[in-house]
Amino acid sequence: MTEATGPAPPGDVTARPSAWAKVRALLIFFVICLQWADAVPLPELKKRDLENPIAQAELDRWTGVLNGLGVSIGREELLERALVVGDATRSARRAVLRPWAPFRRLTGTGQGWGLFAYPDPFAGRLTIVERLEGEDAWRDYYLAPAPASDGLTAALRYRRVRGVWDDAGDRPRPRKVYDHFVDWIAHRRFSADPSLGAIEVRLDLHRVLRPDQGEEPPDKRRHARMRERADVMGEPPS
Amino acid sequence: MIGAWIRLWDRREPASALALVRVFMGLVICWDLAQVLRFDLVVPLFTTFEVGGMGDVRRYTTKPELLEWVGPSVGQAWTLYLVCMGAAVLFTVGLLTPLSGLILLLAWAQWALILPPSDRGIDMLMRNVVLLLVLSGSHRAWSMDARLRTGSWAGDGRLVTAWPRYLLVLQLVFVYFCAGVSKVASSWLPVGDWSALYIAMRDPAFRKLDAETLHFLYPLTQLGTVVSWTWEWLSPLLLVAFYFRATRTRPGRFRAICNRTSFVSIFLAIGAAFHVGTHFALQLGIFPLAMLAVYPACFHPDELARLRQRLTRVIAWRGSQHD
Repeated sequence: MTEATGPAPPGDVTARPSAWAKVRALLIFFVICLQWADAVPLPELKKRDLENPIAQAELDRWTGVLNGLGVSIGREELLERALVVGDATRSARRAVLRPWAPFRRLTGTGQGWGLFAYPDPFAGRLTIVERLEGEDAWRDYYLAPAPASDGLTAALRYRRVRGVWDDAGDRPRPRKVYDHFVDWIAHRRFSADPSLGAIEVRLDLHRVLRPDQGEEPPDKRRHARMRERADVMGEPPS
Repeated sequence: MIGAWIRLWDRREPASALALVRVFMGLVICWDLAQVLRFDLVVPLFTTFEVGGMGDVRRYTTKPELLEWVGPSVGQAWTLYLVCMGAAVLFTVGLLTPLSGLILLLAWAQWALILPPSDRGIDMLMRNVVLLLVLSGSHRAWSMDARLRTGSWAGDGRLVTAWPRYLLVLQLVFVYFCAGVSKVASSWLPVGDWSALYIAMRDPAFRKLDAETLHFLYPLTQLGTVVSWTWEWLSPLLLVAFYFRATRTRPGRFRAICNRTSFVSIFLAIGAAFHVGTHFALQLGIFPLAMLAVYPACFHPDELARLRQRLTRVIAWRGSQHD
């Protein structure tokens, strides 16, 4: 390690800033402002967000809180105002960041941090069941967050794969990527076990209640996708 | 004021703190990429569904440049993976550091475009850090570049500009503060019974502890919710504490208290405890490790040198005890 001793600040500064130092300071100021414009959390509610049960629950709760504080506002009015503010802030941010967009895309850099901003009491539980060729009964293969039992279940727990099913699947309307994720699981399972005839992947609705809210209801079947062996691996040779 | 701003960003210091961030962050990136290989995920994660991947770029207005140039294929997936991995290894050991860092950054960004849901917030943070390190003199110490140039792994002690380290600290504050402010769900507040951490820890996507244990630990999770929320909101004070430290000779009671209580160390200790705790209580992948990899940026190289001397003395003393 570099052996540097003694108090840092005064000795660290060059005697007379060069022209480049001035330009650099200006550039850094500009970059910090831009990054802050990207990072600053603004209310950006969209109509589509309201399909999510957590958004509905939050709306109800905040209406109650505001009414309790003496602010007379109805649920619909609060929603309308939130949407107007959301539209305005989203447009403003987009306008500020537009010139910067190609650089952000090329380098994959940016800001925007929300670590568990909305912990989801309406969570999705990845559920995989499978059926042997020629049988009717389904058996469990994986039920999140079960520990890994083989290579595939270990992969399902890997953060990037979890991102695929949690981000693209656990939403009111799953994205196309969720279907590709199911195809990938089916292909791996059918390749690993020739006796399997069909597989079903779901993201069941799993309600999380606080301990004082009573017993949690059973999971609700949701976003089920089934794949038959023939669909994924092709017809067996006759 | 303007003069002080220019002088702040023109400061110079040894490269050791930046080098530590580079090595730690590089190790986290290499580990994460090794996981992809271990779980046989190169093709699924690095290309599109037509050739066995999970990516779907059909509806993109602008497709990832790489796919425009070479089209999706198994070979494209493996090439992109190997470029990422090779560049990450070179960046970590500090060989052709700025170039390998730049290649890593560009290849990683293409990967993120191919399958966005697999690219998490922490990936963007790590790319931000890599970009700053590419622009820094992190390769002047603890790198093969330093070894080849000076004959010493530690380099020749040449001073480098300190602004990338300052921006890394600012990046940490951005992450924590924005995360704190965006926590507006009622479960982070008294109206939601401070149940946010409990709910997050019960989510099957992140759960590590069983439901009974979490039920028993509920009051502790409430305390954790309050502490983490407050701590994130207070993160800008880290910048104030650095300013107070740099101007310690000036008067002011708050400044004196802040310097006497070593606010920076306390803040970082709480942060480290928070990340280590979540690493064991939640399934977060590399998130805690990647965040901790940035922490050396909060220390002046002189502090790191003193820490190293202290550690060397302790190790020597323990060695003599054994003898």
